[in-house]
Amino acid sequence: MSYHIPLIIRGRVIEDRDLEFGGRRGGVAFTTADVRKHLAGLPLSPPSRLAELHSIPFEQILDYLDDLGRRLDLDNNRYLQEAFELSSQTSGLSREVMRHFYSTIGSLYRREAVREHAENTIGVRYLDGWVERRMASGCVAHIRAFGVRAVHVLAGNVPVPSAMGVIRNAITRSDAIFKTPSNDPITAAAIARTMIDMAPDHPITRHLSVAYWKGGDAEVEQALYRPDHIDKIVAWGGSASMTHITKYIQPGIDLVAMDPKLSSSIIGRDAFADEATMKAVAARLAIDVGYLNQQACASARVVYVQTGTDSEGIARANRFGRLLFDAVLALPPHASGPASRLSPQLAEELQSLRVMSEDHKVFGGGREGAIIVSQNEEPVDFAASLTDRVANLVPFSDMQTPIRSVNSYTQTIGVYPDALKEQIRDQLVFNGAQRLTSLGYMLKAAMAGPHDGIEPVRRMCKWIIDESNDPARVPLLSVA
Amino acid sequence: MQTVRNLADPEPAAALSRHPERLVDLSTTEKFSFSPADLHDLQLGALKMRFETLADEVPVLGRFAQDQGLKEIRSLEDGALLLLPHTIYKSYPLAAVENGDFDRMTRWLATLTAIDVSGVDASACVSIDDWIDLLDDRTSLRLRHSSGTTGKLSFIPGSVRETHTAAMGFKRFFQGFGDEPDASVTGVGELPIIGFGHRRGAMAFARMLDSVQHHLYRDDRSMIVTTHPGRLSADMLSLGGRLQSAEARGELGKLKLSPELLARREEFMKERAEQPAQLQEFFRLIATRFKGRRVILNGVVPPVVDTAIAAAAQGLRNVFATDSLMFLAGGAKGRKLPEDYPAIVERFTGVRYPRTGFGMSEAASGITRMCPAGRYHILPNIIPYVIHPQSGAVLPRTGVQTGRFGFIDIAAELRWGGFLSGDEITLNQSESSACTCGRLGAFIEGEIRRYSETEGGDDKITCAGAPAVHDNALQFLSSV
Repeated sequence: MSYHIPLIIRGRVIEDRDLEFGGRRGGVAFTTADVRKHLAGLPLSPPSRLAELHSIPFEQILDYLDDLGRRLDLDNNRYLQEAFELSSQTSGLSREVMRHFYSTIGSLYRREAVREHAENTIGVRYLDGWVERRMASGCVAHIRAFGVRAVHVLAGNVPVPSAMGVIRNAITRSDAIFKTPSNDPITAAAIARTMIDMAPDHPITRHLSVAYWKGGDAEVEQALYRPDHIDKIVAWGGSASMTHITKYIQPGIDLVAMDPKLSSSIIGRDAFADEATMKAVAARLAIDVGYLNQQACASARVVYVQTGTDSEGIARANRFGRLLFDAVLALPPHASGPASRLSPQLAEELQSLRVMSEDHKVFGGGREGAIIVSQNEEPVDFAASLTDRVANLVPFSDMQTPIRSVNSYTQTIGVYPDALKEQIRDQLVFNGAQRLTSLGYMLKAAMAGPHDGIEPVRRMCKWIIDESNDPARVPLLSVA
Repeated sequence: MQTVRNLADPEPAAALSRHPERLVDLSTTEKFSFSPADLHDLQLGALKMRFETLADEVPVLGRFAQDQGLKEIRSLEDGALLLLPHTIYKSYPLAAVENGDFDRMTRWLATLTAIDVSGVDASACVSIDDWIDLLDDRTSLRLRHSSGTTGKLSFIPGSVRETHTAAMGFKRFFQGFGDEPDASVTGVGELPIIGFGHRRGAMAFARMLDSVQHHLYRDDRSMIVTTHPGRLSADMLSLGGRLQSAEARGELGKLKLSPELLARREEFMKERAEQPAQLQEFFRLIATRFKGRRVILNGVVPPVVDTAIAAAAQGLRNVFATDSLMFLAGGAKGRKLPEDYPAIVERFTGVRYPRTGFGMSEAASGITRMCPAGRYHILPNIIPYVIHPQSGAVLPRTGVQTGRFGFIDIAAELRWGGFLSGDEITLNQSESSACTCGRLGAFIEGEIRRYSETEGGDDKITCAGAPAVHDNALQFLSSV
């Protein structure tokens, strides 16, 4: 099946079909305009056009986004329907899970949600005007968060990056060029078209461009990634893509990197006190493992379980593995379901464990996913490729074992019980962890909090200071 | 041209199906003259015999068959259920190598081979090289390992018996078919061999030279000269791979370097320091002792091209006699080569760029030289399968099929010869469109491509990826 995706430059929809991408090996093909023909018009020119965004009061930005959210309604928005259809085929997630995503996109735009996001990540008053700050020296400073010219390199495993990108671009009053990924070239365009239908001349509409080009296309990227054209590159995920982008980082271009990450869980001894507790904990963990079929960076992959490593401990871990597998299968279909197919690579790793290994017990292994229980303290060697509801339980006795497994690629760690989380959280952070949650809540991200150990939304702004000094109060030259 | 099998000393098909390893002794004309019906019967008989014999002797085969729900072989199609994925050969726990637990490695290896290793005491081994040497010394195993470019070495349990099949495969490689000019080629077993790579070690290249030296050159070491006379250490390759994976495992994965490995650091450094001098010595030898002589050149494409470029810089041209033989295993193996690399090789050697070979280190004897019509014909000891890359289903063994290449090498006697590669091929098995070269049987047409990591695993056993990993490891060792 073939789709057409327009190139959108600041409210202008370019419907040319110059190029076709994808389609190999059963993939979905789409046509789009050749960005190279439109390179001159892609960067914001002149940059002072950002001014039109800065004269809009924040409350009106909220109005705009709230309106937009109401129009991002899967039942009535044909752009979104098309995006849902295409993404259902490319994402590897079940239709039910994708429907859940696309049905709830609009809720991200609700006034209260956006206000909380802006307030917690930046502070609305810094967005809306100059904020006075008196310094000890007598200097009176005024500080404001200004918008920038940014390219957002989006990830496409789920539609959230596209949806959040629009919100962040609007609240920071920036001009964004979205470079869409091949696994979701359409969601951002669907939102942009909804914006054009709603308010074609509104500055927020006129400061969003959506383009697809093949990541690494030097002709496009060399022309675009220049300090006279953009201030920042905001990049989500993808090791190869990230490494590639770093080539263009130079004085004048800032990289806001939301690196590819992996997440894990630590379950303390209390969870294994009795069968009922084990069952309840397994049900919570199942959400961290199975929600969105483990496609997110925050999904639990390796789970450290403090069952002990003697034969009784291993038996407990195996029992817990069984309970967890059952709990994953019992997740509701809008949250999780059997994969359309397990990746052949992972299927082969599982097959090898089943027939070769004395050190692992495997529950499941088909499209429904699998729980691998290590029979010693070692995670599987392919831990980084666990996905599609395949998790690895690793029994341990000494809490240092899971703590020392944390590294600079770790994002979220779900911990049970909360008291344990408080005990070990600093140590986890020193080893590399960036977000800690109660078990069962790893994927319920507080969107209004910091992200991956950085504050990306703050960093999407330019922080400008205006310093006023009165010579009567602040001497012009200090006497040493 | 339809060639009818006509053997001077015809070995009945029934006898060949009981001893399919003898297929490698046939001449090239004989190999490609089986009628489809004869070949089918021979292969099916051999497949049944191998399965019945090895299912009890090679534990992984019995378990794999059970996992697939296969009790007996009724047709060649059944064999498609017994293609071991590459993950099987690296399913050992990396921790065993890191902790120097080579008894654990031996127990793992025991599941892959019919050779009894229960009497091997590897407790004194401190390195992989030690372990391989011990197995060489005490058993009839001749382990081969991969380059480990994806972080983990694969180990293929070759055997002394396979050294004969490998040597015969080498010999037959040069032999043409029917009335082709090189059908009566001479020189193998007499001409000196010029090899491009490390002479010693347990990668396929060095093992092949060992086999050829023993079986075809009466153990005369002086007949083989290589660019690197030293050993390509499995420990160095493994370390290179472990460096990548260790980072991903946090403090726990922190490389455990045995004192013994550190002690060998000097040796490795010296090896590397000597490499330029070794190459000079190689150039001196070929420019004097071998200048203008008829020789056999042997290597995979990238190191041959690298050497040719280095030789050109020194003004070495047309070094060998024009009627020299060249055994060149094809493919750039992920390397970017200069566009005119065949011409570069021709200028250096003075020999016409040959038709290259396609083979798999996982086969006992599987390398086949491109025919004059540009196709790779499948040797009679190889039962080819084309597997659907996503579903894993076997595609019909008729007509032209594109998919993932799998095969069973019925010449493998002491291990299971079934293997599922990561290569995408188009296999022509159509009886009506036989190749114009006259060879009967299935052939690969068009390009051979690698499936990406996500689509099916990428650790192909290749020698060409090795030097880069090796260098990283040395760099690391010199920094600790």
